[in-house]
Amino acid sequence: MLLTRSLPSTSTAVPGARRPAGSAPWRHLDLSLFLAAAAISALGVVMVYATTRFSLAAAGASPTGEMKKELIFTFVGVAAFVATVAFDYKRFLSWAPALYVASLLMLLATFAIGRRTLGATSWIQIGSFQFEPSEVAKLTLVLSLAGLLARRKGDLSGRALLSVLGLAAIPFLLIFKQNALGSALVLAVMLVGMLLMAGTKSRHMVVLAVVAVVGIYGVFTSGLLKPYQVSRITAFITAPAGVSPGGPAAQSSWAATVQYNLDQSKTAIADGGIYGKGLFNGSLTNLSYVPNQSTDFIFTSVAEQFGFAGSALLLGLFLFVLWRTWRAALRSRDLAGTLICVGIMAMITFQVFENVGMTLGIMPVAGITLPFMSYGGSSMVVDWVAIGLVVNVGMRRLI
Amino acid sequence: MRPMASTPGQAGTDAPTTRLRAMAIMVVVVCLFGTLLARLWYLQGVEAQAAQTKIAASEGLKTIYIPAPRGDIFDRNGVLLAGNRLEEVVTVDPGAATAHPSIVAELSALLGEPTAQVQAAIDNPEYGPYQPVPVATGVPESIVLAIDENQSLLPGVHAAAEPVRYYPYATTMANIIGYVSQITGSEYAAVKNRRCGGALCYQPNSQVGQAGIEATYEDYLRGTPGKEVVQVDSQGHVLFRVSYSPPVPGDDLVLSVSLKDQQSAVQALANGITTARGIVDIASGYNYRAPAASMVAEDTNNGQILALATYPDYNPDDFLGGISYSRWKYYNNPANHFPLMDRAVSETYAPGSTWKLITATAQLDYGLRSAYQSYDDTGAFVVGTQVFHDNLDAGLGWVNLPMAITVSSDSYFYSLGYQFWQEWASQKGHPEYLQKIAEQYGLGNYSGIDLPGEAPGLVPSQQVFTKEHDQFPKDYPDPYFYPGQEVLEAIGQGADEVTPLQLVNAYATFANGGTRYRPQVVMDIEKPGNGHAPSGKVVRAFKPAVAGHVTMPGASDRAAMLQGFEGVTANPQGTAYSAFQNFPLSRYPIAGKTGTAQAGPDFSTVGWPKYIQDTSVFSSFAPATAPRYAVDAIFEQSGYGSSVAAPAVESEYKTLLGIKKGKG
Repeated sequence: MLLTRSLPSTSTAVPGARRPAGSAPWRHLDLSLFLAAAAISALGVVMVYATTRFSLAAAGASPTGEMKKELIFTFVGVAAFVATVAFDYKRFLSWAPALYVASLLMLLATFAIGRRTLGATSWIQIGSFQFEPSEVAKLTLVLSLAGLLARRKGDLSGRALLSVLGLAAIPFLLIFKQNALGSALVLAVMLVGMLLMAGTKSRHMVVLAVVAVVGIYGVFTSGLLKPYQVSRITAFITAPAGVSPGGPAAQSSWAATVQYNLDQSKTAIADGGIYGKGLFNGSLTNLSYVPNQSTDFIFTSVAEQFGFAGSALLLGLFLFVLWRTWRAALRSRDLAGTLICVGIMAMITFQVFENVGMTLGIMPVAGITLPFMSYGGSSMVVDWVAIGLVVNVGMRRLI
Repeated sequence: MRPMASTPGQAGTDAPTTRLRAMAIMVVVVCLFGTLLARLWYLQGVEAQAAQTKIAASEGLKTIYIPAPRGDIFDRNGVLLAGNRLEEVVTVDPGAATAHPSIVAELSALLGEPTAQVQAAIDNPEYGPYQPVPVATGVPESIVLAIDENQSLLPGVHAAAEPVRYYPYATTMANIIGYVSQITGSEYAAVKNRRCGGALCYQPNSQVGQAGIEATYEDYLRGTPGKEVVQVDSQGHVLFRVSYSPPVPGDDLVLSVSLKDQQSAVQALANGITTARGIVDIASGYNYRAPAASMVAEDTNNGQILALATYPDYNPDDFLGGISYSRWKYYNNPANHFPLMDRAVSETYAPGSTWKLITATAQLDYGLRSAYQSYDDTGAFVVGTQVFHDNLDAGLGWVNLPMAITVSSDSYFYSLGYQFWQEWASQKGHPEYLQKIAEQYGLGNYSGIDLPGEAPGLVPSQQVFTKEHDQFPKDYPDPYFYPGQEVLEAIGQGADEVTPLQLVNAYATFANGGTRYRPQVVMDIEKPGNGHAPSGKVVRAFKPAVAGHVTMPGASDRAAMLQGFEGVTANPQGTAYSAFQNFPLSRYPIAGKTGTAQAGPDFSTVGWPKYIQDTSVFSSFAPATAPRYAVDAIFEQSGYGSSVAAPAVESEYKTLLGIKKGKG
C-alpha cells in the first residue's frame, strides 16, 4: 500500500529499483511488535522485583538486586534486538552453518564444564556469567533449518527430509542428554512448525507423527527418562499421597517437591481472583511461597497480583506478538523469512503454552521459561534476538 | 545458494496449501491460548474463594510472644523478697543448628556440656519455630565474650541478659512467696486461650507461679506479654515486623509480712525443734522426734499476717529453670517430712487445750456454768463406763474458770463437753452450741487467706458425723455422735482439727473483742517500681476484711477468761509460767494457752515408739490489755506445749515488741 501510494512521487526513480531510500527498511519496522515485547519485559522486571525483594532482604542482600540484574538483561536483550535488526537476515542465513556448528560445540562443552541447576546440566559459567547454550541452539537451529528448507522449496523429498531431521536431531539429543527435556521439546516443536510451512508432504507428516508417538512411548517405557523426569511430567496428573507442603516430606522426593510447587502455583493463581490482589499485595507471591517464582513460575505472580484481568491481558500481549510474527511470516519476501518467523512463532507459542499451562496445572512441569519474563539472561537475550529476527524479516519484506 | 524469490509475500504464501497451513497454525495457536484462558478462568473465577480461605489459614504471619518482667514482691517495710535478676542467657536462633550443624560441637566445647545435651536443648519442643531457644543460663562473662567474638563460628548463637526470678531470702520466705517454674502441660491446656490485652497470656514455655503468692497473685505479677507479629517467608525467614506491642511488666506486691518477724519465727522454730529433740518423752523413754513445726503471727486488729513460718522449708531457687529429679525426689521423700508443704495453712492438728478458748466462750455465752462457779477436778471424768483422764491423772482440786484455764484443768472442760452433749441430746436450747461457737471462731472452715492449699479443719458434731458417714460409709461406719466425742472435743482432742492459722486467728478474734478478720498476706498491689523499692503507686489496696463475729460473753465473763489466759504466763501455777520467766510481762502482759495434744497410734512411723508423740501447742495474744499481736506455734511430736511451743512464741514476741533477746 505504501509502495503504491508513493509511486507517483517516485516515478522518476530507476525502474526496477524497489528500494526507495537508504533507510527504507526502518520505515517498515513493526514498532507495535517491539512495544508489545518491551511491555512484557517491563512487566517481567516488576514481577522479578515483587517475587525476590523480601527473600533477598531476609538474606541480608539488597532487595532490588535481582530486579537490577533482570533490568540489565533486558537492556542487553534490546541491544541484541537492535543488532539483529540492523543486518539483513540473509546474512544470518549465510552464517547459519557456522553458527550451527558453534552451538553444537557449546552444547558439548556443557558436558565438560556445565553446572547443574534443578537437575539439568545446561549451564556454562564464563567469569561471573552463566549462560545456557540450549537457548542459543534454538536460534541457530531456526536459521539452519530455514536456510536448508528454503533451498528445497516446495520439493521436500524423503531424503531431504531425513537430512533436515538429522540436522535437528543432533542438538535435540545433546540437549536431551543434558536432562533439559523441556528445551529439547522446544526444538522439536519448532521443527514441526517449520516442516509444515516448508511444504512437507502430508504423508510424510503422518509418518513423522506416528514415529513421534512411538518414540515418546519408547522413551517413557525404555528407562531413558530418569525417574524425576517421569515424575515431573506426570505430577500434574497424579498427586502423591501424604505431601505436606513445605514440610520435610515435601523435600524428600522430586515428585513431592514438584507437586508442592504445583499446588502452591495453582493456589497463588486462584488467590488472584478476577482483579488480583494488586501490585506487591499477593501474600504467596510476595513471600516466596511459590518456589522458582522469579523464573519458571513467574506467571503466578502476575496472576496473583493482577488476577484474571491482568493475566488475560498478558496472554493477549503474547498472542499479539504471535499474530505479528505470523503476519511477518505471511508477508515475508522469501520462504526463508517465512520459516524463520514460523520457527520463532512455534518456539514462543510452545514456551508460553507449556510454561503457563504448567503453572495452571494442565501441562507437565518442564524447565521452560516464559519468554521475556522469567528471570535469566540467556533466555531474555535469545527472546529479543528472536523478535529481532521477526522484525528483520518483516521490515525487509519489500527489499 | 539459489536466488530468493523477489516478490513480497510470494515465497511461502502463494500456494493455497501453504496459506492453509499458515491458517491452521494460527488456529492452533489461538486454540492453545483459549485453553489457557479457560483454565485461568476456572482457577481465578471459580476456585478463588477456596484458595483465599486456604491461604488465610496457612503460613505467612508469625506471632512471637515476649514474656513480661514479673512483678516484684516486697515485705511491709519495702524489703525486696522476690525480684528479677538479669542473667546471661545463650540462645540459638531457630534453624541455625540445622543450617550450621557445627555450632552444636562449638557450643558444647564452649559451655563444657556434652553435645547430646546441647542438641537436646536446641531441640526443645516447647519453643516455637520463630523463637530463639535457650541452651544455657547464667553463663559467665567470659563465655558471653567468646560468643560475641566468634560469631563466624557460631552463626545464630547469641548471648543476652534476660530476667530470671530471684529470691534474696529464699528459704525464709519460700512458703509464703512460693516459686515460679515452667507451666505444665495440663496447666497450659487450661489457660492457653486466656488473653492478656491483645496477646495470649501463656505460651507452652511460660513461667508461672506454682506456689504461695506467686500462684495466688499470678494474674497481677504476670504482666502483659509483649507481642511481635512478623512476616515470614516459606523458609521461615523473618522478613519484616508487622506489629509490635512491648511487654507490660507485672504489678508489684507489698506484703503485710515483715521480713524481720519472719526471720525470727523461722529461727524460733529451728530452736524449738532442737530443744524438743533433746527432751525425752516420758511415756516412751525415747526423745521427741520433732520433725516439723509452724508458727503464725497476726495483727489482731486487721488480720494482717506478720510472720508465717513452717519447718522444714525448701529453696525456691531449686525450681528455677526446672527442678532436678534428685531435688524433686528429696522434697517428696516422706523421710524428709515434705518441706514443700506449708504446715501453717495446709496441715491440721488436734489443738489440745488451746481449744479451751472455744469451750469457755461457749460455756459463758450459753450460761452452762458461770466463770466463778467452782468445779472439783479429781483428775478424771467418768461418763458411763468410760474414764477420761487428766494429764498425769493429777487432781487439781476445786477450780473456777480462770484457774481452770491457767492450770489447764481437763476435767473442768470434760464436764462441760458432756453437759453440751446432754443439752443437744435432750434437744433443749440451742443444738450443738459448742460447735456453733467454734465455727464463729473460724474453725472447721477455710480462713480465706490469700495463700493456696489451705485446709478447712474439722469441728466434730452430729451433723459432720452424719455427713461423713453418708459420704464414706466404709471409712465412717458409725454415724452416731457419742457423748465421749464431745467430752474430748471440749479439750481440743478427739476429732478436732485446726490449722495453725485458724488457731491464731481464733485467738486474735477473742483479743479484739469478737471480730474475726480474714487473714491476709498481701497489703496492696502497686505499679511496677524500680526493682529495689515499692513505687508507692497503689493499684489495689486490701482493706481489712471482716469474716465474721463471735458472740462474746459479757464484759465480766470475758475479763475472767482473760484473767485465766494471763495467768498461764504470769501465774506461777500457769502452764507457761516458766517459758515467760524472762519476759517483761509487766510491760507486755501475754495472754496465752498451752496445748499438748495426743495424736494417736501410727504404724507407719519409723522406729519406736509406734505412735505419734504429743503435739506441742501454744496460742496467745499480746499485750493482753491492748492486744496488737496474736502468735501461735505448733510443734509435731514435741511433747508439752509449755516446754517447746511456748518458748518459741515467747521469742517471737520479743522480736514483735522490740525487746532485746535474752533480757527480761
